Amino acid sequence: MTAILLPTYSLWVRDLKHFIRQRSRVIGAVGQPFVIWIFLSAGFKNSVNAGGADYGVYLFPGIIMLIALFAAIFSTISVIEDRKSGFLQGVLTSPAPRASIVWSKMLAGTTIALLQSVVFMVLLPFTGLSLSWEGIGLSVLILAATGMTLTGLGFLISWSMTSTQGFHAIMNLLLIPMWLLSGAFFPPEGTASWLAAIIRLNPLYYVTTLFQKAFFIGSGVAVAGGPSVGVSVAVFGGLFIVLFVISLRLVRKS
Amino acid sequence: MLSIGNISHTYSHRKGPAVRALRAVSFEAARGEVTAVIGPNGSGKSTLFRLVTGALALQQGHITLDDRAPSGARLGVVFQSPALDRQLTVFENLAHHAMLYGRRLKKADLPAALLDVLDLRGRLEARVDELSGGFQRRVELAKALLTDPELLVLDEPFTGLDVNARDAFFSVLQHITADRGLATLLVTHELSIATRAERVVLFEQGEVIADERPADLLKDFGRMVVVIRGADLSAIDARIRAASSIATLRLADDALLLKDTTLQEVLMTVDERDGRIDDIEARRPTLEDYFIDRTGHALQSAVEELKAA
Repeated sequence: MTAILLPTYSLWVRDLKHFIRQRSRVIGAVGQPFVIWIFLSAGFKNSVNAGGADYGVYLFPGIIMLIALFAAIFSTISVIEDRKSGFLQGVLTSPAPRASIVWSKMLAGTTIALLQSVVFMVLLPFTGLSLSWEGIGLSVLILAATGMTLTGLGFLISWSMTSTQGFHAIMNLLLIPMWLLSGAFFPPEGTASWLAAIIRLNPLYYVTTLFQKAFFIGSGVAVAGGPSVGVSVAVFGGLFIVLFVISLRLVRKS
Repeated sequence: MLSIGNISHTYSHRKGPAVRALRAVSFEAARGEVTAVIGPNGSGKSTLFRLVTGALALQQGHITLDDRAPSGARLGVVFQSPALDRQLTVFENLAHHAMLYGRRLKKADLPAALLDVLDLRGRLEARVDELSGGFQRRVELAKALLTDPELLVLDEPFTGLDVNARDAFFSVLQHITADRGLATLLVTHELSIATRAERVVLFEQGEVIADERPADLLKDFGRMVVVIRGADLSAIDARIRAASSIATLRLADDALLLKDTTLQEVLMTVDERDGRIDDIEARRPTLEDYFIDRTGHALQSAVEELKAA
């Protein structure tokens, strides 16, 4: 167990240093969701039925989920960059357990996702919401679980890819629909039955609903419907285990 | 002592026939010496490198260092392509690398002698991408040596370095190898550098065709050789053979090498004003000469063709 801790720590810290030293990446990571939230909440204010809540307030946790989604998945581009730059070959020939590569990337993606989400939270006073500590604590936990799982998805795809452009193309194709149909943008209730069915097939829907419910605890905003907490935890937890096991097998095979 | 015994390796392909990259390869590399592995592209050098570093699983034979597998911290590797993080400083690269080997590293822990011999002491806080190619190579070497390996394996470490940087890097490598009693395996196509190694293992089509000290490999060539360049060298070759005991070797269509001789001796048989002769030069024999003598074709030309492509 101790043999894996130091290599995992080393690779995790290295990825965080990369993130912090790339100022444009930090600015883009925080600025883009801010712009999306402002424009979407203003534009759809009177068009979307958000269960009685102000649309900007309803969208707020969804935007945080968007941040976590993109931050976690795109952090795994570093896998392709490490392979291209030759850094990965040094790791693979070292005695560091292969699992440390998977753990470090998952932890780095999750940390970056959490950091960006927390920075976005400074906008909370503009929504007029007051959150409970219980809600904030649970939200951070769910965001961490989201970060780990989605980094696992990104890792799985990036490990077998050689081009960062190709990774961008595939992830955008996958991510935008995943987010749009996660319940973050609009609730499934009241949509066409075929669309509601697609939403229920989207694993992100389960964690987004869970996150919304936790986020609004004690705020006076009610999130009606959606899967139960047990179903959400089972679906998303199962997805994490599957992605982690496959990633580990891939890394051990190479 | 690194012992490589009876290694064979075959690449299987789903489409197309299997390719046998190594056939019954055996040789030894002594501690305190640089053993250069040379050969044309496709001769099996890279497969050997990957087997020794554990990137490929052994199919047949054994690789041992003093009767044990040379893996983990016993093995230091310098790759052909850089394995440094260019966004981090030199010290950060070393510290992160040490952690992969289970060691926490502070600046005070860095071996002063290693930093001095590599001239890195004043560059620890420099970002790697601010360093010249030669110094980046030195950081690679420092990284590989940081964990006190007993076996050092380098794959074309001179790529991208100019002649001076190459020579300086090799001198440092040779000094460290002797000083630390390392078994150093240097895979290279730089024949001028390989000539300076303590031992040379020559590969051709997956087999070892020579395994000796460079001076022993070249002893048939004598201290000096003479190379005649020109258009029609067959007649000149025949005249030299008939008129003297000088042994000849066709290096190329337009180049004839005369073994173990001097310019004065050759000029007693050959008229330098002969219209068929473009140039006559005396020089020291090279490993390229030996390779052509053994295989009938040039070693360096294969490398040059690849570079041109």
